Amino acid sequence: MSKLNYLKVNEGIINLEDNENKTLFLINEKDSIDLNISLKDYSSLNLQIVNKYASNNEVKIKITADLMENSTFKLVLIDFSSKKMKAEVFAEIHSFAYFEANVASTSSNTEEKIFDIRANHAYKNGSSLVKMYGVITDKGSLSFLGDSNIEKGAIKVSTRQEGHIADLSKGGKANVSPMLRIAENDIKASHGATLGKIPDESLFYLMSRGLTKEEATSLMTIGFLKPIVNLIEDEKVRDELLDYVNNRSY
Amino acid sequence: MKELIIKDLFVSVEGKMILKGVNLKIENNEMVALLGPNGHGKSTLLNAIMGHPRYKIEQGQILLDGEDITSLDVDVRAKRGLFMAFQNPPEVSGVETMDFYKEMINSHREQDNPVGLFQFYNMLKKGYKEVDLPEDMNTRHLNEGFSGGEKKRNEIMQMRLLNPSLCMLDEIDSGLDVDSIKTISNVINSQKENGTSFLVISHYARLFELIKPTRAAIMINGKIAVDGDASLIQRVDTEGYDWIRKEYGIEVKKEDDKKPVVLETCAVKKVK
Repeated sequence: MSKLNYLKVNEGIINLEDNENKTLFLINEKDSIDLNISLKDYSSLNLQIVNKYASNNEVKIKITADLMENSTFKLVLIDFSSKKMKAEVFAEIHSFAYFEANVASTSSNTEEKIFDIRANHAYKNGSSLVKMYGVITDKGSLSFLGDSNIEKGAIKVSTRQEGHIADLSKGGKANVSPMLRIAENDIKASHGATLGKIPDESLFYLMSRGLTKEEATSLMTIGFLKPIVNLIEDEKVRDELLDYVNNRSY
Repeated sequence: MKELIIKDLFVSVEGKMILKGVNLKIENNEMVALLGPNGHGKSTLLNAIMGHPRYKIEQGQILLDGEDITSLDVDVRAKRGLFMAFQNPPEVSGVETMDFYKEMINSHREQDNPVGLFQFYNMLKKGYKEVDLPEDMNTRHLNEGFSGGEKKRNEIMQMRLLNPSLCMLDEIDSGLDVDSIKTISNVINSQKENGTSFLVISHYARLFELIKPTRAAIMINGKIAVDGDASLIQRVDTEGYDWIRKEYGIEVKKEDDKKPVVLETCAVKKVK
């Protein structure tokens, strides 16, 4: 595991030189994050952002990343705030580079949250994986917009887009759109979306073992978010987030 | 449990009547084999007893020790000592088996007396050994990626952890090899020694030879057509169900043609 560094500013440029490895951690307490990331050959960045302590205003997150050959960019973005937000992530993926985004979010009031994560493949042999997991309760509103674009000539590219929202709301809004745009034949691309209530069969199964409906729903919802939260390397923050997930009412 | 009585039970699923007047009694520590052709209502009966919301009780009663449990929630029935081992246990993504087991055990205990860590650890260790599964299964998501045999052993493991008073097994032997059937039969027999009553569905005499039911009931067309001693199992195994038509004048209806099932869709969905 690479050394954990804490980002002190929300805006600016992150440059990693050839073969450099870094894990950066940011707890966002401001209205916006605006990062420009440039990863040179064989460098590796693990960026972990927790947007739990947001201000009263709408939070805007914008991350643009340029992944040069054989570089790796892994993003973990966790947002359990109760404010409106929009996150836009764009990754340009060069040959043999790898981009991974893992998102966990909850929405419970009337705030609208939009996560728009784009992986652009204009070069050969790049790969990307986008996974977004969310839960809406009450009148929550959550959109997971994923977009993998594979341009003509970008052969041997591999990409996957996943979006999953558990809808426990009463009249909330949920939108999952893991889009693939493909202009090349010799590639691997897949997408998966699930959106809906907790499956009745799973609920019955857990209740048949003695769990109340609330306990069963809570256990399954926690299970939905927990794998993403577990990616957070800062133990104290991770435990705090797990406490939040475990004790939130669903 | 002293007794479970099913009285004139009519159950429908999505508007179609499946059970049409089932009468059955299971007494304390009995092992009842439930036989019958496919699609005649055996699994429906088990699900209705357990309280699956999809199975609508149109008429009749389910009495557990004299109490009508027909309208009780599923979890309350479980806490009263009912247990069902599923024919196809669902895969519950994201839920670690160990977390689930802990919640499951605690749901049967007083709120201020949760299972201790050491006791829990020992229960799992003993359970996994009994059903011959590796202990590290407890870190995997519940039933996710388990083989058919692992799922069935996992069901039996849960039965042991909960120590129910009435255990319903829905084709627990399907998908199991010969050695696995022996393993789970031994566990079932141990559980019976604890005083548990059983209602067991299976299409194969091999399981019944090992667990030795005390009685057998045959379900035809949504009703118990024949209720008798365990010799019925042998008869069904050698002769099938045709003799019921000849001896009892009951025409065995054939299973409806199954409609095609959509396995998966690939689409973007928006809800409001």
